[in-house]
Amino acid sequence: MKYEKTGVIDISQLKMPNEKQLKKGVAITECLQPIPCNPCKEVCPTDAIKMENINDPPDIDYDKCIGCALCVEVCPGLAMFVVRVRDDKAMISLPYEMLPMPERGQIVKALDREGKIVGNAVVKAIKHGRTNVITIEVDKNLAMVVRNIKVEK
Amino acid sequence: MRIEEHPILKFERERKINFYFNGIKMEAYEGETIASALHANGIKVLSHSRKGRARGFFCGIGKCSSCLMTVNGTPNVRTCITMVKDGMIVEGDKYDLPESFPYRKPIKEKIDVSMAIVGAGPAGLAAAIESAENGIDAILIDENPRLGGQLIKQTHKFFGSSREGAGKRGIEIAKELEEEATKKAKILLNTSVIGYYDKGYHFLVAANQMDGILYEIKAKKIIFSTGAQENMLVFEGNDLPGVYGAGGVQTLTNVYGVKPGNSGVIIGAGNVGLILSYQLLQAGVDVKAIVEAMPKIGGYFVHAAKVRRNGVPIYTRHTIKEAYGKDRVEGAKIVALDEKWNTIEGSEKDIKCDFIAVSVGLTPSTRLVQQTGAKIKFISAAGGWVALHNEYMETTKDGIYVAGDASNIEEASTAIIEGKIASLHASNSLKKVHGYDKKMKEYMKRLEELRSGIFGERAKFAKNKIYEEYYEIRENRRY
Amino acid sequence: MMKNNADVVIIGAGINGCALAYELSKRGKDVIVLDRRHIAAGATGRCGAGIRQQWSTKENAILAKKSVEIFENLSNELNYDIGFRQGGYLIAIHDENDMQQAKKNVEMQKSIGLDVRIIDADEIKEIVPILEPKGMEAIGATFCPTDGHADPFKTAYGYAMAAIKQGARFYKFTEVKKIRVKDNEIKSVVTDRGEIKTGVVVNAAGAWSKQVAKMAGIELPNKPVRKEALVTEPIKRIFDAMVISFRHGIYFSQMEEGQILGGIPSPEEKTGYHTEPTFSFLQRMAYMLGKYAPVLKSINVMRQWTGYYDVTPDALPILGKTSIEGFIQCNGFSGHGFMISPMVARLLAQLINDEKLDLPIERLSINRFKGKVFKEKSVVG
Ligand SMILES: Cc1cc2nc3c(=O)[nH]c(=O)nc-3n(C[C@H](O)[C@H](O)[C@H](O)COP(=O)(O)OP(=O)(O)OC[C@H]3O[C@@H](n4cnc5c(N)ncnc54)[C@H](O)[C@@H]3O)c2cc1C
Ligand SMILES: Cc1cc2nc3c(=O)[nH]c(=O)nc-3n(C[C@H](O)[C@H](O)[C@H](O)COP(=O)(O)OP(=O)(O)OC[C@H]3O[C@@H](n4cnc5c(N)ncnc54)[C@H](O)[C@@H]3O)c2cc1C
Ligand code: SF4
Ligand code: SF4
Repeated sequence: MKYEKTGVIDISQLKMPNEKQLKKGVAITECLQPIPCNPCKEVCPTDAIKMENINDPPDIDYDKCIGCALCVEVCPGLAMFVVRVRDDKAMISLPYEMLPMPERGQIVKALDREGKIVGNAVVKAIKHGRTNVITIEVDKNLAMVVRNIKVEK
Repeated sequence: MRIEEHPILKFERERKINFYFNGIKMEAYEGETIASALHANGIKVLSHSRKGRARGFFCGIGKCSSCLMTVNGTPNVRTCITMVKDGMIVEGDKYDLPESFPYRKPIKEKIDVSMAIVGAGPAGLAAAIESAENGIDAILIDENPRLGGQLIKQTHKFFGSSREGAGKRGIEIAKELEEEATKKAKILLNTSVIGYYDKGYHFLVAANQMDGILYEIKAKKIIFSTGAQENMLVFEGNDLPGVYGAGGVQTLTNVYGVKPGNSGVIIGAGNVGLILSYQLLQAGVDVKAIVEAMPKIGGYFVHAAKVRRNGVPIYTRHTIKEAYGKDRVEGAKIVALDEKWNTIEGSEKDIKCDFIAVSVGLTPSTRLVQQTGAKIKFISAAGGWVALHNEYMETTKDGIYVAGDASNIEEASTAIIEGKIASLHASNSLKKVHGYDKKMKEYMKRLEELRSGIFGERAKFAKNKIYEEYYEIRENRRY
Repeated sequence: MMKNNADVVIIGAGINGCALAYELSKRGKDVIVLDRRHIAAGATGRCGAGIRQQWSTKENAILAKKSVEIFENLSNELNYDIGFRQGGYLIAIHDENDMQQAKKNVEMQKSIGLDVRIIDADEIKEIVPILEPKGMEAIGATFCPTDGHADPFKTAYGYAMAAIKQGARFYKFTEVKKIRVKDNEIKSVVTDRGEIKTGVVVNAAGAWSKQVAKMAGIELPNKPVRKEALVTEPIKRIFDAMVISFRHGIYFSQMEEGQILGGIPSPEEKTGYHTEPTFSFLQRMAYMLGKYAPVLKSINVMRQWTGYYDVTPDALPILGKTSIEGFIQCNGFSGHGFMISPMVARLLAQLINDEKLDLPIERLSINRFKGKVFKEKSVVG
């Protein structure tokens, strides 16, 4: 697999939700390897995550998923993201464990999987937890591109 | 160099104190080590070799010898694990014997106990808790000032099953284990076990140098959960101050809140190198690159993705050629490798940085268990020399057990269960444990589960080899 | 592939096997050295490597003195730095009895040209400033400045390398299992890697010499005795001399890099093949070191280990021919097989090469045990 060499996955490797599901907002997992880990499955309130053996990668049932982002907060691999697409905007809930913390309404840089700046994002919500979950708004075409933010001091 | 703000950690610094480095007055906080206090003051060169080469610390856990300094007149003090004290006189490049030496007659204490557990990482802590649950008196010994072993540096959330605390951060798991163990077991900290002697019974000698106590411990069973030590890599300039082991950097940043530098290059893209890079980013350090000699990233993809999306490049099929700088690291030269591991001409990259962290694997710490006469074998899948043992973690010497990284380089989650298994088996052979079979079965099952994926294959292979060799010897010996 | 014949097969790649291989190959002999482990794996790699000429019998003193003469030029000769250093041996005199013996010894030692003298407590402190004569219970000492020390690993390697250059072959991890003898003559040596035809076998197997001799039907009176030693962390170089006491059995010196290395008889001393170190040795040694040099109480011991003395009833080596033609003994060195190895090797090479010997060695032949035993008094460790 190429991602084993680069540390960056190709979007084609993701299981894509359909339009309706995206509109509702669902969890996208970027956890593809068989690693012994299961907290996402345990935390999911709707049993949307299938995992027969602890080493299986999670498989998300987009019909069951309600986009609550509990799995985003718990995932030790920081590999869960909730994506919701409405009109020409995408809302992305992502894990954030860096400093400085942004404020609601702040405009931050939107980064792709290689840490490259691909545009601006508006911070819509911040949920403090074991891992902070930040919800940002970006252009729709960046829904599957942006996976991190950079907050300027 | 102190980290003032951190997204995960709060550094509760204790009382401010002063100490002297080569005659210069410096500030420190109580509760930190001499080496970290020196780093906080920007001092990386601790002393010089006999040939005049600058020396800084490497491992940060008291297992190499590059941090030795003279403290209050006592030569060869391991400054990376010795706490700084008010008014302390710390000197590098001084190997004299003091005029009026600070010798104190040690207090001797004799301990007679059912179980002695050496090393209070996750394996040792779990073993101590297990023994208490079984009504067995045990003593848990660690040479560090704190319980938790490697766990106290792990600010990231752990994988594993929710039952073993997955999703929690290493430091949180350490805290839980620590609280439970402190309630239930007798603990000696700052105490190094320095020798095992067979006197017809198991006999350990341990020393608390800080308080000048020498313990003579008679134990019916011993569990060696002594963890592992960092591997070194050969390259030019690898002895420059600023070349650290990954664990040393973690101790500095995550335990004492001191940055190893402002920008670093990480050698090795296994889980440790990847996680370390992420932790450095959190501490506000610029990670310039991760260099990996293998054609692919060794650690979990999710760990790699975390650093990649923060803009850190990972160079696979590359290696470090040289660390350069005058008296301390000023940069690293890295170079690409071809299919045959030869360096590719003209591929050299020069990366300016002020430290280099080497994370190219760990070697089990087996020196103590080896002294018992338990059969030791080189098993490369296990990380080096290990004591042969059976499924119950008992070595070829009766009553001597191993657990955790000391028995095979693995994970905290497996170390915890191995600690429990060893302790349960030892407890049961001292005194019948109620519900032993059921409990043991349950532990075995969990261990099996944790090792069932492709990332568990190496561990499983290593363990099978260790069991096989164990039974060859035990059978020969017993019958 | 292992070569299957040789003029001489030496069993044991300790200092004596290596030195002899060098002396023999220098004389054009085709030599094979076998060791079941590696160079210096036996007592050689575990010893204090002190070199002392102050012996109570003239023969021993001469043997040691001749060896020192070789040691002095050995780094040059082998083209390999063996770490030879002459810091002298300081031997404690504890009471009037000792003093009488010391006077006798010094007189004899002087007669063979050794620079030895009796010194008082003040001079002890001048030579080794950290010593505390009161703690040592010493009224004086004898001191010979040309006694010294060499690095046992480097010396063995240096000899081996030079021997190899002269055509000798070393086979490591090769264990001798049998020695074939026919009509009272050596025929071959059988190892776990094959058989080597030869007319001469040298038994330099250290503490295992007794077993090796048995393979050829020869009974040796040797016994293995476990001896312990320790080394401390390095401190700044403060003294050059080896300090020893026959009363306390202690010996210690400071290495080139600053560590203090020494030993003392363990309260749990054992005969037989026991390798475990003891805590009582550590305690005893630490206690005595503290008495001899109180300042050393504040430094750490790095390691302790054990090795075997290959001990004969009179604490003297067994050298030379046996009733089996071609079977040569080179063992039983007790606690001093390193210091005399250069001369022992030269004498045995002369013997094997049918030359005239520089010194007579008949008195060290195995035949002496048929008669009465005289014991060398100046033994430590
Ligand atoms: C960067 C990094 C990331 C990791 N991430 C994970 C993860 O996500 N999930 C996971 O499950 N595992 C992880 N691990 C692995 C985990 O930390 C170790 O496997 C685990 O700590 C091993 O536990 P242990 O009890 O065997 O040894 P250790 O934790 O190493 O403890 C050994 C203890 O023994 C003491 N000791 C040694 N010798 C003596 C002596 N002579 N006298 C007294 N005390 C002595 C030491 O001071 C130490 O405290 C990670 C490790 C690293 C370095
Ligand atoms: C603690 C200690 C301190 C000492 N201090 C001093 C000192 O200060 N000064 C001094 O002069 N001497 C000292 N000695 C004594 C000295 O070390 C020995 O006398 C000397 O090293 C003996 O050397 P060797 O070559 O005869 O034997 P060794 O070095 O013991 O070599 C014998 C070799 O034979 C090999 N061998 C055995 N059996 C077989 C077999 N069947 N097949 C193949 N190979 C075999 C072994 O593997 C070994 O390598 C000390 C000894 C000890 C233990
Ligand atoms: S977002 Fe909520 S519902 Fe969807 S998978 Fe995650 S935890 Fe389950
Ligand atoms: S919690 Fe995260 S890392 Fe673990 S299995 Fe679920 S998605 Fe993968």
